[in-house]
Amino acid sequence: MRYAMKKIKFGLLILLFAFFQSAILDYIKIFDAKPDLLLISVFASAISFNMFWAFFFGVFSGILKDTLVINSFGINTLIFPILGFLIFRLSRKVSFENKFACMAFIFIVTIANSAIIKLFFSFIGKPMSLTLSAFLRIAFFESLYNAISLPLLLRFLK
Amino acid sequence: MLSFKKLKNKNILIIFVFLLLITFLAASLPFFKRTLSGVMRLPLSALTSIKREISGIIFYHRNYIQNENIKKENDLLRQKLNLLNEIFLENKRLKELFSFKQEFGYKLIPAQVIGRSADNWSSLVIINKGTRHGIRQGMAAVSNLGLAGRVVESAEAISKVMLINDPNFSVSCLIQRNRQEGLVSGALGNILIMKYLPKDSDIKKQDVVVTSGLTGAYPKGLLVATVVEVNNELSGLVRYAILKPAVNLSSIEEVLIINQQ
Repeated sequence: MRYAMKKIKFGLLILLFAFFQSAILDYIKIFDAKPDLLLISVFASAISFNMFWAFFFGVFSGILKDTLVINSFGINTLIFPILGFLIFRLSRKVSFENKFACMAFIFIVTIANSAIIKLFFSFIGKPMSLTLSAFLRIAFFESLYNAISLPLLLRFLK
Repeated sequence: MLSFKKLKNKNILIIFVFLLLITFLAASLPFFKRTLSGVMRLPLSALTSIKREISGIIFYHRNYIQNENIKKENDLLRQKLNLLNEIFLENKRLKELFSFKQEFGYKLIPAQVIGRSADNWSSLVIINKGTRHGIRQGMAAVSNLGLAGRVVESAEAISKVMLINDPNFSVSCLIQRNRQEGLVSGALGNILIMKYLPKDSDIKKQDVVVTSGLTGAYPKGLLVATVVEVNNELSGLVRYAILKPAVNLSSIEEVLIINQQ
């Protein structure tokens, strides 16, 4: 029962994070980057639940994010569950108890996520008309922001 | 050994099926996005209202001074408007005299911004009006300062407006001073880029950029940006200009949707 309540609470928190990310976080942007709370939720679900729920919350977060962006294809619905699955598998081999290990890992995952999205849209013929320097700047600061926000958010999510 | 191999094949099959399912879900998401967007309208509006009230309390003194300045400016603009009304009426009378036909009539639909893009790679605002209020995909969005963007998705009670600084946004514009044409695209942040300017184009800092109205998607003469810097492209054959948008896109709270029908 307690485990079921934890999952419900987690789902509601992801929903709240989606609204926060859309309505409020834009006002605390640094160098045009804001934290991706939904990506952090995927990481938290992968280290807190089993593979099925990591996958499920990945799909849920991806759908919410795709609803709040302009994409002709649900790229986040595709990437987030895969990330959740991979992080879950990795968490069985590597310990994520250390806060700094988690922060370093989410930093790398965020940069990888940004690179995958950019490559994907180039591949389907809709490249982002951003210079490389602008892309790297935004990707770097988003990753940094996610890494800094992670310890605080994990307290709510765990 | 055989059972281990069977189990491994079964796992691969399960993973493959899951991947197929989520790919199908991702591809079909645009079809039920509108319903999902409609559901999000109320919580987004509530959250934005709370944020505005709190900002109003925190920035009370700044808002008071701003209000006083705006009142003074408003009085001055009223006087100018009166004068312009007189000129307009005179113009109308003269045109009637010469039997000119004048086409006019853009319907403006005001809307409030209730949300923004959830990622860092697009620049959009979510507004609290949709198809029920007459908003359709492709309509231009303006503010009192100039062009703000274009409606890209419209559900029943909610719409998404792509702002002019989105990397996928582009509009045909011209320099107001000498009518030099170019294509203005977004580059995120507070920057626009005007491309395909000839090498010998006469363009300098502080030049005003307006919409050309060539495609018909945007009314002609809408203020877009001012020139900040002019550079040569790597090839050396064309130039590009860096522009500052006329509208403060990071703090836009209301937009007007132009219904040209």
